Amino acid sequence: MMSRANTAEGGRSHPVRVIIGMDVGTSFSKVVIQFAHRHLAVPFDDDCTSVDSRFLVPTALSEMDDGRCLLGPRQEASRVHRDIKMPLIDRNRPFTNRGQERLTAFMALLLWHATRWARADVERTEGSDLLEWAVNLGLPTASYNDEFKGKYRKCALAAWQLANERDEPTLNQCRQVLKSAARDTATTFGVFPEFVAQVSSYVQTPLGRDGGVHVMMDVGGGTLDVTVFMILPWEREDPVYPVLARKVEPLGTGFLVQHRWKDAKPGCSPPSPFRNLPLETETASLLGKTVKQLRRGDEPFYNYIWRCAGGTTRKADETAQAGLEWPGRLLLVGGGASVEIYRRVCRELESKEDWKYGLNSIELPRPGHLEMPKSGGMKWHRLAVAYGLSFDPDDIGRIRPPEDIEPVPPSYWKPTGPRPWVR
Amino acid sequence: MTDPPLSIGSAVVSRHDPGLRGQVVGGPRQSPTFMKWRVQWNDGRTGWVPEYELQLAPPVPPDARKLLRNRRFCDHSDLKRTIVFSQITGKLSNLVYSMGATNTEFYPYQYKPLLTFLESPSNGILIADEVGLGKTIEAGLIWTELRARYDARRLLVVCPAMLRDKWVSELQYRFGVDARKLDAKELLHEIQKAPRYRAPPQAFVCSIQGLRPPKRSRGPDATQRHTPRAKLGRALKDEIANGPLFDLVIIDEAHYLRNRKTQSAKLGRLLRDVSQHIVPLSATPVNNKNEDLFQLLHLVDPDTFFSSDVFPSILDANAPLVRARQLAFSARSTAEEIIKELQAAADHPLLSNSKVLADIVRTVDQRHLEDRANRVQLANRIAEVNLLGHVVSRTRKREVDEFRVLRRPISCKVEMASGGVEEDFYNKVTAAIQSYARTRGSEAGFLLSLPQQMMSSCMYAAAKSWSSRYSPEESALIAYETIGDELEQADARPETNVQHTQPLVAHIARQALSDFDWQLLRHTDSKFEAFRDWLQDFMSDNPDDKVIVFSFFKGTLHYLSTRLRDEGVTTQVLHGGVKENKQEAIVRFKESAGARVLLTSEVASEGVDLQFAKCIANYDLPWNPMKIEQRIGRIDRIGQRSPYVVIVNFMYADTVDERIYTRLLEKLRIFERALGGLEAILGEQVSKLATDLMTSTLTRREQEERISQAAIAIENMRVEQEQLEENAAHLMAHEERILENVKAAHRDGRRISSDDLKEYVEDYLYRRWQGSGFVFRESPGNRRAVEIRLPYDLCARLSAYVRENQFTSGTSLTDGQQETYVFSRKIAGIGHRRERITQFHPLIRFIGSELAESAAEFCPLVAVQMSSKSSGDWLGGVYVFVLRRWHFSGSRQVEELKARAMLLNGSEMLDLDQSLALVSAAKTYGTDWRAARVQVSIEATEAAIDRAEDRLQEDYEQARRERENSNDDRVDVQVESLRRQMKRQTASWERLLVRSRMANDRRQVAMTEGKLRKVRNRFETQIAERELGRRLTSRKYDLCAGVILVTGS
Repeated sequence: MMSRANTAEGGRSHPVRVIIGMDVGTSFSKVVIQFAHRHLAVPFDDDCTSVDSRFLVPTALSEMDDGRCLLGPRQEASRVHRDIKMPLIDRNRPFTNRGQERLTAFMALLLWHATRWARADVERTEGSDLLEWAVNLGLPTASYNDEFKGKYRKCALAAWQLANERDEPTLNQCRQVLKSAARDTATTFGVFPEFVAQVSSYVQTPLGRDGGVHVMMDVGGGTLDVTVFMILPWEREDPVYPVLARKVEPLGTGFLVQHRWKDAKPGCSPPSPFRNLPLETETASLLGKTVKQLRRGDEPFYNYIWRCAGGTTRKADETAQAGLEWPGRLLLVGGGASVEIYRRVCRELESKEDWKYGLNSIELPRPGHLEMPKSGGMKWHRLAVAYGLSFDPDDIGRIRPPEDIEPVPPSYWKPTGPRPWVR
Repeated sequence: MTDPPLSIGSAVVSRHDPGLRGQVVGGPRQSPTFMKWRVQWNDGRTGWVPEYELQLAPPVPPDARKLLRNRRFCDHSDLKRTIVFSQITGKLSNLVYSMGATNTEFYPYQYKPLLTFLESPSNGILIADEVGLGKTIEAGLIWTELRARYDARRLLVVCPAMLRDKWVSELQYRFGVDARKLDAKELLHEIQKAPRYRAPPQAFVCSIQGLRPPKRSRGPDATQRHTPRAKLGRALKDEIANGPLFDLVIIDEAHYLRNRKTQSAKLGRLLRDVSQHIVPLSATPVNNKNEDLFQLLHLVDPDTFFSSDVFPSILDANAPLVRARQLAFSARSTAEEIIKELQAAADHPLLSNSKVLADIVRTVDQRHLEDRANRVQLANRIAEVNLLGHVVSRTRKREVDEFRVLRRPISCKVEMASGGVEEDFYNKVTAAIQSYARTRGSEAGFLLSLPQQMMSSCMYAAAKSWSSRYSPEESALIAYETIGDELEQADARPETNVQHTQPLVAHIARQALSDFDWQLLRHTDSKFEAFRDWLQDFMSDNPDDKVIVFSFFKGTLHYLSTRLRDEGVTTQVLHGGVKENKQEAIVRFKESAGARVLLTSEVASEGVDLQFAKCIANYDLPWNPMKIEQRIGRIDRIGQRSPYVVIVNFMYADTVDERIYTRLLEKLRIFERALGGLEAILGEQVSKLATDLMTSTLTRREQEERISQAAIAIENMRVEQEQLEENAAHLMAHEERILENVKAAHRDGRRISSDDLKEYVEDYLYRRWQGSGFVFRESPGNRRAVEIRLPYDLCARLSAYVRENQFTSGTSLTDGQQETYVFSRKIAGIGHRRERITQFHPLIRFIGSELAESAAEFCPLVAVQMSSKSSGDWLGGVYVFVLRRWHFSGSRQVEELKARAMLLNGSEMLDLDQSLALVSAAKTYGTDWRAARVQVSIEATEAAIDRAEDRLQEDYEQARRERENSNDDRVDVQVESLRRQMKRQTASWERLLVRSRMANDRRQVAMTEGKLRKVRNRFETQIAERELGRRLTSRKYDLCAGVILVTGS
């Protein structure tokens, strides 16, 4: 889909390719666009974004009396749909037509806003409105199968069609476009597992190019996603990430809040899912407990996290058969990465004495090319998935599932082994 | 879209960012509507890119105009790369390489000596700042700069013995230099073993006393000839013929060398002749009436200051220049007035050959002077003619903005109980001294004041000392600690004179202590009680402060320590002879939570920094005001955080001490203002005064009169001194300009930062070693800590470079291991857990040498934006600039970055300094301005670039003409100087030759002729080399042009 050109370079047209990386999260959604070798986080209007940052849009759709729908939860809305992404995570929930319409409307609004913002910025900086679009979407890895992918893609295509309309889309329009099975052959559409996008963003940094064994703990609002994977030598044209073991459990921050508040006194309401989780001290005081009591109460939840993370790591070693060269690297990412209980598990994974799988915990390095001005102190890694999706689809790569992994000689895994010339 | 077609291996540039270059490593692949290629970019990224966003890299980089017409601007990183490359690989004269590189706080005046030194045609500079302004730091900055610019390697610091530890620790802590303390024997060994060419980096610290050659002795005592000091002296003399042994010799407290007849002065001259550069440090001011002080200038530049008679003539020649310069600054002056003064200067024999001056006279015209900037430029050019101004740099405390510490003196006069044990003891001892003086006065002289001062310090400690019957050596030591400075200045051996104290002490013990129970003095100590009461009050009012208590007498210090311990106050004692290093002891005290009082002798009054405290207590008062000034100077110095310092003085009322305090010290306002440069004359005055007070039986009134006379004499000298100082402004005429340059360099970020170094290495690796398997990546959480592994080939080449260039420290980078390195602009750092990559690191040097051999490709057109808020008060708008590098090579090589800039919609061109400041600010504070291609008018920008280029070309032509003149002048001065040096150095050999011929000593004749030949050959070669430098070659390099958007916020 190319718009007309109005800027000449040496008498010729000057096309610009714009890639949209869209991450629809359980709690928050983010968009990063790339053009002219720049990656820019897209800011959203103040009235729909999180109080923490203008780059985070709560994943909620407000339905208004007049048929319009708006991004984020609005007080004036007649209905607010919050669990937009849950059908993609919770396999027990059916992905109904209604659900698809809401997801479509939400994505259409995000894209409507992002494309306008991108168009203005490209025109301002590159002087061109001859744009070549590509859209990359993330899908929870658990749902990354043909059935879900197909449905998701269909919603995305419909959303893209609506995003290019003059006015903001309504739910009615979504319904109609979904029925007519929208098509856009000119725009490249890619649907990728969120996990791959996350890895892709990491691999773009010099640290990520090292390769080796990695354990990634992605703490979302709904799930804890633990994946043990390999990064193979960077020079490959089509990056492939062998996943040695993986487990997704409903152990995200939302469930942690549920666990903590299950015995709360009446009138003590849990914090908003659209705000950062309060610190342990604050939580304890909200619940009228000491931090020690809070931690004691957290113990069963903690044990679940530990089993999920530790068990997956152990399983990875078995999958590799020849045995992996430990230590590997441990990455704690996602919106809940700063929550103390997950960090404690990480520390234990790093330091447990009788634990043979050595892990070095590292912060996800910030890529030098991501621009997110006035981010308000937001941790960059919350944009990691959207950033990973803002690359050319062929650069994002794919995963090789555990069942396809063949034994590989240990030296191949080593991230930084000795070199032949070293004395 | 590209023509010819791309293929794997093609070198490409991005159409969006012409500074982004890469290589096609994969593809092609078909997308729905376009073809794409996999590209490895030179910034480390690799990815698939649509073909229409790529262009084959042209074999010749495009010029700025072509890029401009295609609206293709490079970004901020390209401007940064261009400037940093020039800074690191070049020898830019308008960049201060040491700025920000050392562990020192930034005070502009401390760079004054350095910048003066760099412009100086002499090979040295006298740093004559007042006490407490950081002469050590200034000398260290010069060494750092010499290392950065000229790869200087061998440093020798010569100082009084008591300052050696301070120098070693300062060099290590502030400048990252590992220096060794050496005696004469060890230094001789180093000189003999080290290769002259590419010597490994070394720094030595030696004492003046330890190196000075012994006096020539004849007869039976000729054994002196075989001492290490004598051998060293001969070796230094022999080495003169072979060229410099040291890159820099720093002589601290150089006033010890000012009496030319002393052996210390001889040492200074020997060292000067074997060193490339020499920097004496002394708080002694420039003084044209004092032959001794003239010697310091002679030491720095013996050829200009070859005779003390020429000094007034130099001032005469400069006087019209100073006036002309002042006129240039005055807006009302006419060209005619200025030319009249300049002509007067040009008529002086000393300046008649100056081509620079002749050129200035020729080019000044009234129309030119209408522009304020031109007037400033003219004033600066006039200042440059004043060649003599380049040999000394002096800053006084009152000139330094940062130095605004008030002194709050408190006097505490303690009454001795009438008829009590203290008064009784005091009278007995005074009587004993006077009776001794009547019989042995002329012999004991000044030493008579010693027991008087000990008693005034602490009666109990003095009595204990005299009753202990010390050996002559111990007595000498006590005396030396108290009045050692005067003896040192007299260049005398302390052990000979001070032994006179022994019979004096025995006399006092006999006369005053035989029937006196001195133990009572401990129980009745009114001075201690007053001190204790004051200390308790101070400590409770200032619970976080520490106190420095001075006493010249070791016995007093131990007494106070014991008494204060009994009172529950923890102290630390510091005096000469303790095992612990002085600096370490002070650091221990500073960091100790418990000890709040430092009890110290004069060892802590010189060369140490105690400004973490704001209070000193003088438990006793030396009579020499300079000593008191030195004590106060420890806390009243740069770095003192408190707006005031407290000086508490304890003394017994109605004693000679009190009279000296009120009649001399208070009159001179010694406790309220710095003394300045009176040191040279004070010692003599005080010595005379003390002798008079002690050897004559003066009444109280007579004593007061005598002290008042001394105070008046000293005050008169001070006034005279001030006058001389004002006159000596002739020598410092260009210092304001230097200070302006320093401030501008700091403000505009004209220095090399840690990030600059990191990006320099990163850029080199990605551009030259892409795909070779190197590792270069930041550690999480610390962007200056970078894991690096170099490819094998590079390891091998770096290793060879390190060997060839004798880097002693080497680098673990050559091992091919993956390690974490820290990029740092600071050359000195605490903790060496990780190897630091500074501007002196072998890798940086290596890259510089690699890049110097091949012109790097830089983007010639950039667009940058910055806010006026963060970058300085630039007027908002779009500026167009052109940046070039000029290279002049003649008697010395000079490189300069020069820019011209103007507002796109304005008509005025910024001057050279403003333009460079704007570009430097854009480099430091700017970001990409991607919208430039849309927002600027291409035609207007091109026209502005044309104008800026034309103007820069005019600047270049003018600079070339000026440099030719100054180069000619410089070569004239250097050649003349070399001829004089040759004459001076051959004179003694020629005399020896005549004597040997007369004595018909053929062997000696042959040897001397050989030496003479060698010296003459060396000088003739040097003269020929200088003459070669008379031909000035120049080149200019286009670096880049561009646009800078300055926004309001």
